[in-house]
Amino acid sequence: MRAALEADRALSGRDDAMLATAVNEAFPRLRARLREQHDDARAQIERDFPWALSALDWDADLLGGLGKERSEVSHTRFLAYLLDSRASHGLGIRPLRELFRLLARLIPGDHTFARLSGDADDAAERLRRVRVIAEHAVEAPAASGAGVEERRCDIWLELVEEGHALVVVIENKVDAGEHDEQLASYEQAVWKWAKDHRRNSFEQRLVFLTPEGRMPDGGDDHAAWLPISYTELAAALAHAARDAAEPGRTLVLLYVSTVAKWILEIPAQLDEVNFARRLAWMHEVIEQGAHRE
Amino acid sequence: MSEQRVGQCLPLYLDNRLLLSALEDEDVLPADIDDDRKLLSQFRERASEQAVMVLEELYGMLFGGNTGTVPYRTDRRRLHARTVREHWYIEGHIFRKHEKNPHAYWNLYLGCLCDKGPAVGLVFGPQDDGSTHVFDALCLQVAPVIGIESANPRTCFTHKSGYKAGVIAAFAQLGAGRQYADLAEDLKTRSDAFFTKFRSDFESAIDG
Repeated sequence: MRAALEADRALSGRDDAMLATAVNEAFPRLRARLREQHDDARAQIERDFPWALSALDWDADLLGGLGKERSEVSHTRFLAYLLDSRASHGLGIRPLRELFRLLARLIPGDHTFARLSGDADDAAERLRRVRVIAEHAVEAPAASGAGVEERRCDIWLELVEEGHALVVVIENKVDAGEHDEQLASYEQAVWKWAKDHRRNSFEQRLVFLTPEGRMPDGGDDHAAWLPISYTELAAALAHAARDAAEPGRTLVLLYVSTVAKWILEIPAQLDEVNFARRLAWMHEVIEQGAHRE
Repeated sequence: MSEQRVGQCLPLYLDNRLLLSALEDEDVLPADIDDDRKLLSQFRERASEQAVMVLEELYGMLFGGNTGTVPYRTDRRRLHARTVREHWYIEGHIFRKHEKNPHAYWNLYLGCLCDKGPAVGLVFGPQDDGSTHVFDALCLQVAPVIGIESANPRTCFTHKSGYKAGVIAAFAQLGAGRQYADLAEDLKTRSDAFFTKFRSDFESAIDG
């Protein structure tokens, strides 16, 4: 019995060693292929979207120096600031338009965000009318079960027009998980808002923003939420810098640099391994750029 | 049981984790490497088996019975049966004396340390991710004591770790062929050093 076990262990050990050797031999060519993909993607971005590379290559970023690089509140407030076309950044509707372009791409069969982010004459005017509120206070049923309590949803966007209204809620999660009933309370708040602002048509979109673009905990209970990743968001914001004037252009790229370094953990310095971390973001920039054309 | 040794695939996988995760990403993997894709899938499967085995054995050695590795009452968190196989960690809560609700977690984690290579780490951190700064400060003190360049689990690995606030209290290098018993011994020795020197700092950090 003991001898059989020893023999089995020896066999398994040899198999393990053979597999490790085969993989070790494959690594150089796999690394070379990945490097090739990186270089191709970089060359394409250099050609088509050269401004976007600054955010990857700069050592500097917006929130790192403040020690707020992974502060959810800081990211929420700054993102709301960027999305507000009337804010002092001078970027106008660019960040909001890019976010809506992203939503149009991610939502199957969407027309709403495609129209709002499109080139039609009235689209820009409609985007200018979108109201953006950071940490918007909403009333929700109290956790105790009795009465209502105030909760704050991270970013609330609303567009109220003749006969039509649109609300977009963005729940931003950098590190912490969602609290019990948090998302359900925002869902109820949106419906309450719709009831209070009766329009012939009402549309809502609930967006769940996380570093990796995961679904909210609770699966099917929160099927209404659209997961988007910081990779997708950062690529969209990089596109917003395309034809922007200074200092807005540098401002938004410094923020993208914060996201790249501290949330997506893409270091500015390249080495034999780090280039792999850049690929997903670079491919997203290219993908979003292709959808613009 | 104590003669069990670390296989070859697990350390090799950890050592190349960033590259492998990029290759496994469907958007990144080149289309014309089907044979290599099969090889990598087999490799990952084998490394996962070895990861589960080493983590479960170390959990038994360090947390089973009255081993005293962690001077608190602990439990083991069970999200679902595939957690260890998929994520390569085991975790649970730490309860201080008279504490009914935990304020801290423990985590046995497999990763590739920037300065030590493939390793298993024993990580402690706050249950609620409040301010990271107090744990970041603790990490700076702990690193030289346990002999590591950085004890901050957020930044000390060559790959993403998913940690926000926490401290690596102990680690053991995962060389192919190392006996599990030696890994447990390394973890226990470093964990003892951590709690001897930093127990009160750790508890203050938990309380924010």
